[in-house]
Amino acid sequence: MEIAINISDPAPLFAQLIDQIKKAVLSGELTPGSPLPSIRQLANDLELNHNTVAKAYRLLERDAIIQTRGYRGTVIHPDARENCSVDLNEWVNSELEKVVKEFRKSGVTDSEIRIAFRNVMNNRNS
Amino acid sequence: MPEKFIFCLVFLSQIILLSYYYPRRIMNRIKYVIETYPPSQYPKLYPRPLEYYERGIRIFRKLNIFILAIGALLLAMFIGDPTSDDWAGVIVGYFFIQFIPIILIEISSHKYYKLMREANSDTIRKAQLQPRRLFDVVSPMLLGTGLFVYALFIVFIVYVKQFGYPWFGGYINILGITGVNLFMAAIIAWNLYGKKRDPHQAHEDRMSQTRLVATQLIYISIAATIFVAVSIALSAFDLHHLKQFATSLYLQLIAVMSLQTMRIDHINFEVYKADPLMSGEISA
Repeated sequence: MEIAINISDPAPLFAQLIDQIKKAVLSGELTPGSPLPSIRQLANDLELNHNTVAKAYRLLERDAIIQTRGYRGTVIHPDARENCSVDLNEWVNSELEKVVKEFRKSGVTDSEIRIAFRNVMNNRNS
Repeated sequence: MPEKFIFCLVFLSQIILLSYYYPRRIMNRIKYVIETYPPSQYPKLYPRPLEYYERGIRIFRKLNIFILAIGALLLAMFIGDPTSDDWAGVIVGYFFIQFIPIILIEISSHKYYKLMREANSDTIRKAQLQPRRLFDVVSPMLLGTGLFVYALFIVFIVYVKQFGYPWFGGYINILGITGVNLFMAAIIAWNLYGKKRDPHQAHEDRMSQTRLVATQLIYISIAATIFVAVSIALSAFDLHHLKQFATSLYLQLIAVMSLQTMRIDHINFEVYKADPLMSGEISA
């Protein structure tokens, strides 16, 4: 199965990788247990930074779409097809929307929400 | 006398094979590519103007004619020298001279692919979403044979060491062959997992090329191991005069194995054609 990355596309390269692997899983081109190339191989073939591919693999592993089996390499997760339909970004957006609605109901202004959000994120990062 | 005559034939074959036959094959291959896949239709294949490659072919041809003449001179010297019983060193030295044009071609091809990568304006990058493994490019049988020969060689060295020959290098031989094998393994790994040299090369072609390189290197490793063992055996049995004969044959064998190339009609040249959008721009 061939994968194609468009480097002039505004979408981040790691996101394009994730998207294509998910599409391949959903279309049945990649089935549970199908082996994937190593990070090094894929990065070399696509002429990408190893960290870009590593990030894509890390996020796919977090979403249980792929699994790493040590020296035996990376394979498609047994529940990958079901997990592909779960969109974490969408879930985060809907959860945030709910919270923002609650704040607005309580009379908190948008700028106060933004400042509070930034503070929370900064505290998390520090 | 018959030994000298046979050696003359073997050395002559080395001269012709490496300074006439293979250079001619390489030049014919380049000429065929230029004629069949011209720059006007396959611009991605020519990162430099055509004249540059034609000049390269002319230099390559002249260099080989010069080396051929050196070979003929050496052969004449050997025939005229009544005490010529150990020419192994001369043969190896001449072999390295014969390989200079091939090394120059290799260096040029390295620059050629570098330019090709720099000139590559494709924004779409493709890759196969499946791992490449060693046994995709090497048969387990061949690899097993290589390992078996290497193991036999170790046993052979241990066996010979007990006789305590003053000229015998002992375990250095094992170290040397191990070094050669590790070097070959590194080249195979680099071909298998490394970056693409040619950015346009089709996946099938890359796999075929890697298969060819890996197979060649394993055969060369086997040949090198056997050659060292044969050289030791010849010295042990006091057959030094046969060493030059064995050396020339071995070097020719190495050359035949390493100069194998992919069949040109099996290569996908469509990938070197101009992009439809680009050609549209050019024609506009």
